[in-house]
Amino acid sequence: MAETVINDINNFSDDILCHILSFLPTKDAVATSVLSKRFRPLWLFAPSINFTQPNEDIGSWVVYSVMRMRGLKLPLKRFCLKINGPIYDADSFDISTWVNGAIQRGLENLDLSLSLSLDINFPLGNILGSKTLMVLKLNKLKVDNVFIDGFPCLKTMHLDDVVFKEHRHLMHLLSGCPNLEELHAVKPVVEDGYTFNHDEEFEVQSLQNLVTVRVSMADCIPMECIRQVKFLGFKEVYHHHH
Amino acid sequence: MAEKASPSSNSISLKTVDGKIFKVSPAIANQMLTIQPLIKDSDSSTIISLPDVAAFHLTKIIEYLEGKPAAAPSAVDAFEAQFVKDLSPEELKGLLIAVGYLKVNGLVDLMANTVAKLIENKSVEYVRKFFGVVNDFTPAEEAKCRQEHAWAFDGVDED
Repeated sequence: MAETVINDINNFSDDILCHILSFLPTKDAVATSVLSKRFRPLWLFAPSINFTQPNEDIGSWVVYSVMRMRGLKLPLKRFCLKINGPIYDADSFDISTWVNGAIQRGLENLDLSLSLSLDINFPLGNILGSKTLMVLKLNKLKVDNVFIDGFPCLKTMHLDDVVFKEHRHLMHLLSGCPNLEELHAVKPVVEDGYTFNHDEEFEVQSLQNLVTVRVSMADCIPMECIRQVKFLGFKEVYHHHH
Repeated sequence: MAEKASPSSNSISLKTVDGKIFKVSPAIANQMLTIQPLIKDSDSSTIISLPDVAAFHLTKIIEYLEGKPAAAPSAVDAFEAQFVKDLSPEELKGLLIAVGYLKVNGLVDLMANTVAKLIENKSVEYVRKFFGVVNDFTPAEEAKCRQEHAWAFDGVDED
């Protein structure tokens, strides 16, 4: 093709460069600060924090440092974290501090993956409610706490290998997300083995907007929640204790 | 100016920087957010000039805007992968600049993500060359900057 535009850095707006940086792992985005004086502050304006690359090996102090440098004024839309990938020394307290910090910055998308063998609980009870959160993906973690505020704008929830200490924790989580459209729950485990009944301490309303549900453990999710759904998939992953 | 045809019944003429004129439907043109205000005021004789967009880029943009809705929801990822597959790094950068300027629905994310994959885990020197960045730091300034974020410079790929 005949190139009529020379694609060097002067043709890229700061907006577009930040857009590129928002798709990079945070490590790579931060490294662009030494490219040139123009690049130096740009990574701070990319609305994403992403520590998920398995070839990274960093301590939790890096996450604190990145959050601190960004301050509270710069919006943060996406927060992805994989413990037992790059970050090896975080505990429950660290995780709730980061997630709450991200929520205070207007978080829309939270993607958290821990490791069940690490025995770190995700303290949902300590997590602030959010009117901006739209996507919540939890992977390989334990929830042992009660959810208080809720995510009224949440549209997508994926629970992959999530262990709930008590059934009511799962129910609290669902009842705090009345506008959910997509629910994937692959291998959720409820440790107390409790299944839904109508005398539950709080009311489970029907999730009116739910369009897609993919679950592997049908008995964890009450049918009252999902009766409106248009697409329902069951995937038997393994047999639950009965 | 009172006798304008309804824009919905007309195709929109777009002129690229290399002088080619494309006629597109309002439904396609309206997904280029930058020119949306111009479409409202245009009639069949209006030609909207796109100073930062070459014919090659506009062809690809139209291909995307027409092809994506035609793909089944489960085939969108495959369509997007195919869309960027045969583009060189220079073409990807040029297309990103064009879609960034036009603010094309959905395509800005795809192009920015595709370009990001090209510089992921690469050395500072590699990324400077990729973007044609001139290093305007003194060696002392650059060393200080690297020291500030030393954790971010470990373990990158060979160039």
